[in-house]
Formats: sequence, structure tokens, C-alpha cells
Amino acid sequence: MEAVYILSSFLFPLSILIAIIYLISLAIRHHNHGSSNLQNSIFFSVEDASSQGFLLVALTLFGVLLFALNQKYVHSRLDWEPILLIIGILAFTLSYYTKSLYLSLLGIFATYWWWIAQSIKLVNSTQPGFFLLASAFFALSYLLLGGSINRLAAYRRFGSMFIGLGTIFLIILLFFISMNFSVDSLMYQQQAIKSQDYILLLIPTLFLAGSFYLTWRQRSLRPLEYVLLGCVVLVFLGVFLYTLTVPNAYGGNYQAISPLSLFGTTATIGLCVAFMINAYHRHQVALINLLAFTLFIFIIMKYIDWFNRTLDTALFFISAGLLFFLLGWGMERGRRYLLKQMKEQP
Amino acid sequence: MDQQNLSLEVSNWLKAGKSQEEVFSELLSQGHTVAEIQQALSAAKLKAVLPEETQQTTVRAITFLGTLMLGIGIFAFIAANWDGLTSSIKLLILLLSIVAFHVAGVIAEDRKRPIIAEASFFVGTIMFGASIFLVAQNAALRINWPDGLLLWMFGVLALGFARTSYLQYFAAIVLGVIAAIGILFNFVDYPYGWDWQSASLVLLAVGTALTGYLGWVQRKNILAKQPSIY
Repeated sequence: MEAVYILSSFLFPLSILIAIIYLISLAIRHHNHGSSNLQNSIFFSVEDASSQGFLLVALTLFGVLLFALNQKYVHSRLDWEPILLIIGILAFTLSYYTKSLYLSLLGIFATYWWWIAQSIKLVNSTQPGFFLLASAFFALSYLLLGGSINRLAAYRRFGSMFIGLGTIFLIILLFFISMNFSVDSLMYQQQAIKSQDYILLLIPTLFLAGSFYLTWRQRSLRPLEYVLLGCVVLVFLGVFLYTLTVPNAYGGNYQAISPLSLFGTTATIGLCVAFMINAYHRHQVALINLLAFTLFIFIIMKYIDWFNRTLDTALFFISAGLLFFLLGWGMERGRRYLLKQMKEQP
Repeated sequence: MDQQNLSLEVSNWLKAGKSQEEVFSELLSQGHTVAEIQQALSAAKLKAVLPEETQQTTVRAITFLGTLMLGIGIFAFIAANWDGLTSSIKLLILLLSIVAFHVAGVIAEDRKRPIIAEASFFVGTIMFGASIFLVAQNAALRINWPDGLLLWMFGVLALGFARTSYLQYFAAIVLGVIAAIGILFNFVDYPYGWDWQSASLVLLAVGTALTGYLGWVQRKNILAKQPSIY
């Protein structure tokens, strides 16, 4: 069990890292297709991409080397978590000197995973509600930091990366709370709350407060974005309070649609649309495309999640086909309308 | 220079093999604004995907795939008759294949057929990896299988470095990541330190140094060439 846990701590972030590098580069490339902007690219030449790739491989191999040395020569007397932290700090330092986006992504994942591992150790339990809220705070912090960094022309690529990362992270969390099966697992693992569990929220809250202060000082947020930020915090606070007050209310009943899942679904669709409108006002083409794609995938997943057990098979597929058709048509129209409006604006 | 002439010039530079970053630096030094350069680059890129160019790209892709298929075909033929061959014959076939594909690559490069050359070297690289695992299997070496991937990565890096081939570089990066994951798995499965795990430690150290050095040197070059972009 411990082996799986240790492995997942390295492999999970690595696989997500690769997927996110791909997603961000897709989004930014799509953006660049409309308006070529080298300072926004995650990489802008093969040499750039390979140099970042080599540094990423070097640091990954170094992390595994430290882990292997610890296993072989001191028989794991040292914990593996500090190795993650060392890799995270090294990644950030090297990223600063070499201006590599890949390394800063590795740094973010290594430190985030280190925080999760340390928190579990510290409170000696896993509280899904706390981790969900804390992760949402991290995601929002990345978004705010991205907005701040984007104002500096020389670091715009890093700003775009943070915005992309924050958005994807937030979407994954919203997906999670809206799914029937994940809600079930969330409630099932819930244990009695201890006062020390609140320590889990300390670092993410400080991080969010710091990022918010930076954004507020720079006045880089619009009034509507303050409202949007508040809505996201409220959604996750609501889920957090729900997990605290209604332990295991769902009870593994897959036939029913749980209230939390219903709330999560409404919140996800609402926030995606709100973010899209905001991206429209900010002229962020890449974000509009990313969110439109996300919304499409989300509605398909929700349909399967809610109706695959309750509807007759034939009816399920026929209505799914109609839904996909209408959804694809409607969303493509909406997306094109937004992009056209943006192009027509001065 | 008006915008149309600027686009034309950028287009010519790109055709002559100048990278986007070089174009960017050059034009910045001539006093053009970032917006002007980006507009010119967009126009030049648009021109580059006109039907004639698209056709050339298709031909290149087909040529590359053709050479690759040829290599994979030979490989599949050997694999199909694998059981009937002795160890030394297997090794000989793979060694000859490595030499043959690399020689073919050199000849194609001399005759200005870069796509065929790249594909030949790539198939040679695959043969090289297969040989490493065959030797380990024949000699019944008690080592980690991901160590073979790291050795493979070193060979790919050497060839990539000698030819400045980014295809080889990216192949090395993929091999490095898979090897790192494999070795990690191995140390989690056997946590008490076996003698045969020592090779992994040495290879990990060499791999870190090699990829780190290459990445660092490339990065320094990029940062020195395009300080205005970063």
C-alpha cells in the first residue's frame, strides 16, 4: 500500500504534468494562431522545447537518483517527502535562471504534492473536504498570480502558464465534486473532524491571501472578476461545509443524483460560462476555446454519470446522440460568435 | 520598409532557414516594433502554408513514413523468425541493421535527402535499442530493464549531438522519462538494496549529468541569442 502511495506521488504528478504541458501548449498555440505572440508561447522553437525537455529529464532523473540512494544506502531512513521538496525548490531555482516553463510546472507539482503528503502526515488523517477547499485555494492563487505576472511583458509566458494551470486545476476540482461516484468516495472516506485538520488550510489560505493582495495592489482585477472570485470561493466553501455537516449522507446509492452532485454540476456550468464571458471581455481567445471544450466534455460526462444506470439502453444512446448533436452545434455557434465579436472590436 | 516588404523579407529569411527567433532579434535590432514583427511573421507563416508548401510537407511526411515502414517491416520479419535463429545470428542481424541504416542515413544526407536521412537514422536508433535488450537477454544480465532504456538514451543523445537532430533529442527525452519511472518502480519493489541495482545508480548519475549539461548549454545559447524575447 505504501509502495503504491510513494509511486503515485511521483508518477501521478509526472503524468498530469505531461498532460498539462500538452493542454497549455495546445491552448496557447491556438491563441497564437489568431495573433502571433512569441512572448506567450510555451516554447517557440524546437531548440527551446528540447532544452526545456532536457532540463526536465535531468531533474526527474536526479529526483529518482536521490530516492534510490536513500533506499539503497540508508534503507529509507530519510523520508521521501523532503526529496520532493528538494526537487521542487531546485526546479523553481533553475526555472528562474533558465526561464524554463517546464521546470516551473515541475516545481509547482512537486511542492503541491509535498504539501499534500506532509499535511496527511501532520494531521494523521485524510479529510477530503479540507483537501478540496485547500486545492481550490491553490488553483485560485495560480490564476491570480498568472494575472499579475501577465502584466510584465518579459514574463508573459509564465503568466499564461499560471492562468492555464489555474483554470485546468479549477475545472478538474469542479468536475470532481459534480460526479456521483466521486461524491460517494468523498463522503465515504470522511472521518470525524479534529481541530488539527484546520491546519491543512493554513498554507493555502496564506498563499491565496498573498496572491490576492498582490493583485489588489496592482489593480489588475476588474470589478466583475472580484465577484467571480468570490463566487468560486463560495462554491468550494459550500462543498466544504456540506462535507462537514452531512457526513456520508449519500450512502453509495448510485441510482440517485445526490444534492452535492447537483450543486457541483450547476456550479461548474455556471462558473465555466462566467469564465468564458470574462475571457471574452479580456480578449483571451485561448481561454474561450479551452472553456468551450471543457464545457462540452463536462456535459457529456454528466449525461453518462447521471443517466447510464437509470435510462433504457436504446433511449440512452438515442438521446445521447441528439444531445451531442445539439450541444456541438450550439456551442460551436456560441464560440464562433464570441470570437467574431472580439475580432470586430477595436 | 513598409509592412508588405517586411513580410516578404521575413518570408525569404524563413525560407533560407533562419529561425523565428533570429528573425525577431534581427528586426528588433533594425528598430522595428514587436507588433510589426509579429504581423510580418504571421503573414510569412500564412504564405508558408499555401498549397505548394503543403504539398511539399505531404511528400516529406510520406517519404519519412515510407522509410520508417521499411525499417519496421525488416524488424517485423526478423521478429517473426526469431525463434528459429541462434543468439549469435540474431545479434549479427541487429548489428548489421544498425550499421546499414546509419550508412543509409549518411548517404541520404550526402545526397541532400534530409527526410530519408532522418528516417534512416531513426530506424537505426530503434535497432540500437533492440540490440541492447537482446544482448542483456543473451548474456542473462541481472540488471534493471530501465537501465537498458538509459543506455539507449545515451546512444540516441550521442547521435543527436553529432547531427544536431531534434528528432533524436526528443526520442532521448521520452526514453529518459520512461527510464526514470521504470527505475523508480524498481526501487519501490526492491527497497532493500540489491547489488544489481548499483548499475542503475551510476546510470542515473550519468544521465542526470548528460541531460542537464545538454539542456543547460542549449538554454544558454537561446538566452544569449534572444534576450529580447525572454
